[in-house]
Amino acid sequence: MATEDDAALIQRTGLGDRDAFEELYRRFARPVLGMAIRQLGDNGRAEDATQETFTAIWRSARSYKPERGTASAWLYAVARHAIIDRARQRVEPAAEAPDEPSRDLGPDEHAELSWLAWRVHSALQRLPERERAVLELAYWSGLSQAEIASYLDVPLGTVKTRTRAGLARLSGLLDEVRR
Amino acid sequence: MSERHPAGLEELVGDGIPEGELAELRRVDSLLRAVSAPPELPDRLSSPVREPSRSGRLWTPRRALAAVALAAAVAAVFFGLGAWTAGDRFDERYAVSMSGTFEAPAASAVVRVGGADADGNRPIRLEAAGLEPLPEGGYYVLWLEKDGEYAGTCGTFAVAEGETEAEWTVSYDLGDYDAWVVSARVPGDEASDAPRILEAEIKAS
Repeated sequence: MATEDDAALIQRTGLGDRDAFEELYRRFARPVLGMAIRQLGDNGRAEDATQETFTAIWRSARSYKPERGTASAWLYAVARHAIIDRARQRVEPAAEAPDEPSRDLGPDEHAELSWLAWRVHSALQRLPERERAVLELAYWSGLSQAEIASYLDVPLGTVKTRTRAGLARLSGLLDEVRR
Repeated sequence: MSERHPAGLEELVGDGIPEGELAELRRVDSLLRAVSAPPELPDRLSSPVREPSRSGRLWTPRRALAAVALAAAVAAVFFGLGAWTAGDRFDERYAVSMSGTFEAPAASAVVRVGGADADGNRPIRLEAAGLEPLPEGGYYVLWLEKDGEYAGTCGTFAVAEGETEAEWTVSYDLGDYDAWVVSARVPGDEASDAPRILEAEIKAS
């Protein structure tokens, strides 16, 4: 299961395979939630949108056609639709969701950044846990390498080794992505 | 997240890395620095929260029949009330003609779109002709398409004599969609996609 590609998982989900669906969830729940938070700016509604996304994935997996696009793009489109539907249901006055980075972004840049974040976050979920943990700590926790080593209770050299291995593995997973 | 920036790449991975590998690591490093942290999943999302039905389909034949029966009952009540209070006053704003696909070249339909109320709900009425009655348990579905994908269901209906009218209320912003589509769901044909029977481009109000 760990190495099965996303397209095969979607197709198995379409046949009612609950295990495949849960593996898709494990891989994509965080990227979906991240996109929902960026779009909606509200954690509660973003969590609702995440649930709705996976309900939609379960329901519509049968319609996925590998020849029409990548699995990741299909999942991204389903998530985007669910999030847009959730955005339409807002009851408060319209307000633009805060996004990161804070600099003003045009629609194209916004879409490009959303797609980039989706791919990076999805790829992170494919890493072994110990490599993913050091990368997330290194890039987003604000901890130094020494602090990460202390936090994880491993030698500093191990943190660097795992960081290098994680980046190398991500390089393969994000082979076509350039900034 | 902390205001502190991550250390430079060389500090993160250590010295002595061949230049070719370092270039690849730099590419990924720049990607990670360009995006925000993925959120942690809260407890309520630790697993797929809603247990989807085993069939994986929202509109099972049984549900569709129940929905059609319920819709018919509701329509009967509202039709009676409407006729009693104001007659048939469908507030049509525009109409869209639907053409039969190669699956049903003789079929046609008109979607009549009413005005939205203060809450954003608008009535739609479908008048269809030339449709084949479906086997018991089968039903037609009117839905909205976006980018070639299923995007929203407007309602289901059945046909007895080839012609029918059905009316629903929807809250969609129709300008967000590309096309109206009617598909047929035939019981016992679960493995295949529901065939498209009628289609029309969306026309903005």
